[in-house]
Amino acid sequence: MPSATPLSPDLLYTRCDPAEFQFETTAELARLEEIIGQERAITAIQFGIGIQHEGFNLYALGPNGTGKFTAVSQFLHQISPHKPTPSDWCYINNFDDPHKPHALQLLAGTATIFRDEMRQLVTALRSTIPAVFTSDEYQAQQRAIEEEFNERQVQALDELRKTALEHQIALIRTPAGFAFAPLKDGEVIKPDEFIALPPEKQKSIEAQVNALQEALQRIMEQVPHWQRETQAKITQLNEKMARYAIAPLLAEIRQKYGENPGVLSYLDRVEADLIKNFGQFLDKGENPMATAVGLTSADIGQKSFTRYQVNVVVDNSSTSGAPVVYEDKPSYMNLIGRVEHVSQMGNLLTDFTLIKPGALHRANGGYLIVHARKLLTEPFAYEGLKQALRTKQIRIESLGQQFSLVSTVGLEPEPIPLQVKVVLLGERYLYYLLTAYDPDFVELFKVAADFGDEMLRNEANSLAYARLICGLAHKENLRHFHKTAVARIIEHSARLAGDAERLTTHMQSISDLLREADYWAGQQGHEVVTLADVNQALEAQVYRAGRIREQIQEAILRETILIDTQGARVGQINGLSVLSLGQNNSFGKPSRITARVRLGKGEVIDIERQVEMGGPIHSKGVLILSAFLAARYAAERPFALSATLVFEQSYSGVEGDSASSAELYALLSALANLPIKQSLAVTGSVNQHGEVQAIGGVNEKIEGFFDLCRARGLTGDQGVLIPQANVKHLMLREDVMQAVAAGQFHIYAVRTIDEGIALLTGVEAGEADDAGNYPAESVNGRVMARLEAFSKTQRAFSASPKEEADEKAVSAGGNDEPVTP
Amino acid sequence: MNQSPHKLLIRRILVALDGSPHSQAALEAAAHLAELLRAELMGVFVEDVNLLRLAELPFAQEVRRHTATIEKLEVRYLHRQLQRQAEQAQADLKRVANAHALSATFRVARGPVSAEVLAAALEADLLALGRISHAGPPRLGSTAKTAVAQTSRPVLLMRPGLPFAQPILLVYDGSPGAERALEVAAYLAGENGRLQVLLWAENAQQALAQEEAIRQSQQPKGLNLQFRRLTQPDVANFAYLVRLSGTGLMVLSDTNTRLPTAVVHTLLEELDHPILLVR
Repeated sequence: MPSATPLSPDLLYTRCDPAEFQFETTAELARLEEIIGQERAITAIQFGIGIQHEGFNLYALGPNGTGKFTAVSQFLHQISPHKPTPSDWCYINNFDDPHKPHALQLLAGTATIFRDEMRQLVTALRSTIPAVFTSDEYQAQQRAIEEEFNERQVQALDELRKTALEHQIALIRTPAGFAFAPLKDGEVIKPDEFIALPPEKQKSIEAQVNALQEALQRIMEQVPHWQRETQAKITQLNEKMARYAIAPLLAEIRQKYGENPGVLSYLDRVEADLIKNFGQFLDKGENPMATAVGLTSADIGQKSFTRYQVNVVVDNSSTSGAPVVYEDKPSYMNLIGRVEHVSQMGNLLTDFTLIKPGALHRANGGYLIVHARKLLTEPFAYEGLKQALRTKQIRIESLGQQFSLVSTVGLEPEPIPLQVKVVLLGERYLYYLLTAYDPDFVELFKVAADFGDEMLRNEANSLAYARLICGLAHKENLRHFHKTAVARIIEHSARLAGDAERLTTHMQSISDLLREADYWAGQQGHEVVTLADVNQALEAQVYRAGRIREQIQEAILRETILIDTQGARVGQINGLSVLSLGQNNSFGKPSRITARVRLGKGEVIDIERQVEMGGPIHSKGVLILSAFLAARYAAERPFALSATLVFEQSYSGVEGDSASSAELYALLSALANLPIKQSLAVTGSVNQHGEVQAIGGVNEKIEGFFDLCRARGLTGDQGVLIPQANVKHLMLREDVMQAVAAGQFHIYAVRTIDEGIALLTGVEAGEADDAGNYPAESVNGRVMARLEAFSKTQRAFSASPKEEADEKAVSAGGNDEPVTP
Repeated sequence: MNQSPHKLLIRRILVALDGSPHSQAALEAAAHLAELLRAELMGVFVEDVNLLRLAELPFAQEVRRHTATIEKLEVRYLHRQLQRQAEQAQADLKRVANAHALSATFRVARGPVSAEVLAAALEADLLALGRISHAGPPRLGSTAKTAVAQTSRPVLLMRPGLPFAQPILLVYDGSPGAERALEVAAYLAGENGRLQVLLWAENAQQALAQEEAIRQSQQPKGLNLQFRRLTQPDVANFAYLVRLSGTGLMVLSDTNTRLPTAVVHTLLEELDHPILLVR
């Protein structure tokens, strides 16, 4: 059997040789400002943006800091100038129904011009209309109409008066009207004189008076009719005059927008409304009511002209090509737009000028970038966005309206057609959740741009990294980096990737490191960032984040947490776990794992699982190792073992199977009654065939145990067993490498449990002969013998005549100390 | 401003009140003038004797103005109406006089309206009245006609709806009467006021001479003068000119004038203008 030898120091750390670089500092390099190592995602973005079909919106998924936003926005800014610039949009008054303002589409850049022209129109009308209505021409015509009315009345009365006078009857005025009185000598006849007249004469006078009264009555009845006629004529005149004042001004605007039917029909409505309401331009009097509540007449005046205003919601006058909009706060209102209100005399009022655009308006005809998590945490925003994409229009609706929570009169602006490509940026899990639970999402976001966490580490990529560092340094206005510093950063990148053959694509961590290194270079007065500065930045990062790590180590050194780093114990081993405290702050921590065995029914009890402190993967690891144990050592006889496994002094949960090999070693040690060297620590999972498999966080785990050993003093015996498959991931700290080189610390790569147990116990594992028997003194032989002894004992108990007595005996045995051979 | 011009010595202004909008306008204008001239106001309300006689006739009826219905005219009802009108007239006078800080007297007369007004006017230096009484034809009413014809005092004929302080119109023909009217009009326009002069002349040369004369006499007062004249002076053209000149108070004289009677008649009777007739 091959026995594991310590790894040579050169396998522990894959250096990046600065000599490979053709430059001294990054100042000599061509800048690279694009994303590297994300070919798959970039291809997806190109496809997703290029394809012009419904629902082909993008979701860029990947961890934060991998450059999703940079990649997407860079690509969009590259292509957008070559796309057509979208139209401008305005909201204008709906003269038929002011609560439903119309949307008006205008050529890019003309909306503000149109708005200003309408404003000037109103200003111009405020002087031209009063001028027209105070003109001699108007006054004369108006007076003529009024005089015609008076003339008609006078004529009718005059004729009647004349007829009356012919019969010696006068038309005289009474306080409330008119009356006819018979005359005598030019005066109204005195009553006694009238009575003195002959009765026939009296009767004839009375009849005449009655006839005249009736005639007068008919005239009186005509008066309101004449009045209406006069009023109609004046209205007609007013309209004629107003049209005369308005038409030339509007014609000028019409001419400019001749090819836009929307504008033309709007201008027709404006003209009709202006003619109808020309009076508003004449009214200069103070409104006493308004003054009383503190409004100036200017306010009121302004208010009545707002309906001719143009509310520009999309102004592309300074946009060239398609707009690229990033909405940092994608709330419902920020996306869809909103209708604001103003408070006046305690009432909330609104009109079309208070319609405010959302990000969708601004991005219409172009691209909208939104962070998925922000979108999902804003109430109703995701639903609102989906609705807009599905209906392909932006309908501004307040949430209150949408959910019928308020019933006050609001605005219902006409929806604007929407054509936009939305790019969501977000974590992977959100993408998978959305695809699993939201059928709409799959339809609307058909393209996924998947950003990877790491890229291949090779010469070309190292150079690309160097150029990227150059680009970042330039963008962030940092010092340039010496090639040794670049090499160190690349090495650190591999460490972040947790793989000597890979580099991380988490550019945020790298750019943070660059900034920090630049800071330390500044502190040291360096002109370029050197290797020392990068190292200092890394050390500072570790130190700043080191409080808990140090506390744990201290607890171990003070023996609050019991971890042996020398000597040997049966059924006890040092396992290694990784604690992760936020991004880029994880460290290894040794844990004591113990195993005890006794006669039983063939079960390995995972105490963590019994108390529900172990995760499913951990439980799975324990079941695998017990399967291995049973199949290898008790394939053809009863597996009369009861074993318990526990992580000592673990007060929180345990998850992962990286300790399953350690657990198995502890169990084998307990069964074989062979002590395990406490100077070694173990990591690696195990399969049913006894092969040791790769685990994560190998660097942190090794360093965790190394730190403890160094603190107690390196003995030269100490070391860590790692799976062979993890060797390629090794990117260990400088001090670990030095200790290994000096022979003070060892790292063993093991392939199988047999290799491992031999190292740990110093006893050969033993190979089975053809009959399946192991050498008696080997570990395997001792385990076999122990298990055989258990099964014999069990058989002895089973032979007992009474079932009950047997049971009792077994349970009595259970209370004993672990059975030792 | 506080000195009355010697040619318009006015101490008392009589206002004929009948509750109509025209008489209301006359009251306002009279008060304005009274304040300017430091004169006092005299109000008179005449109970029309013809009306009272009519009411006593057995078949007396009236046609109501607004409803066009025919109603019996009863003596008691009429008395009550007249009394109420008189009270209203007195109240109006008091209100306006107070507003202008003037002293005012009021009395009620009974008899033929024109005669009573003329009789009352004997005690006053200027007679102010509405062009017509209750909403009738725009022509000059009978009382106003009588007043113009039968009194030698200046007469102020008002119509409602036009503020007194508009640019003053002066009809000028170069006669002594017109000179007097010019004095009055200039005084009413006040310092830096606007005065529109309508020139009545035989020919252009004469008109220019008149214009020059007025400029020379009035320019030093700082008046803003505007002249309008006709090349072909006749009644219809002149009436048109007046219509064009706005609606301010028109000042003219009908005594010692060169204006043809037809022109004076048209100005007084046909045009619905507030007029101050200077005598």
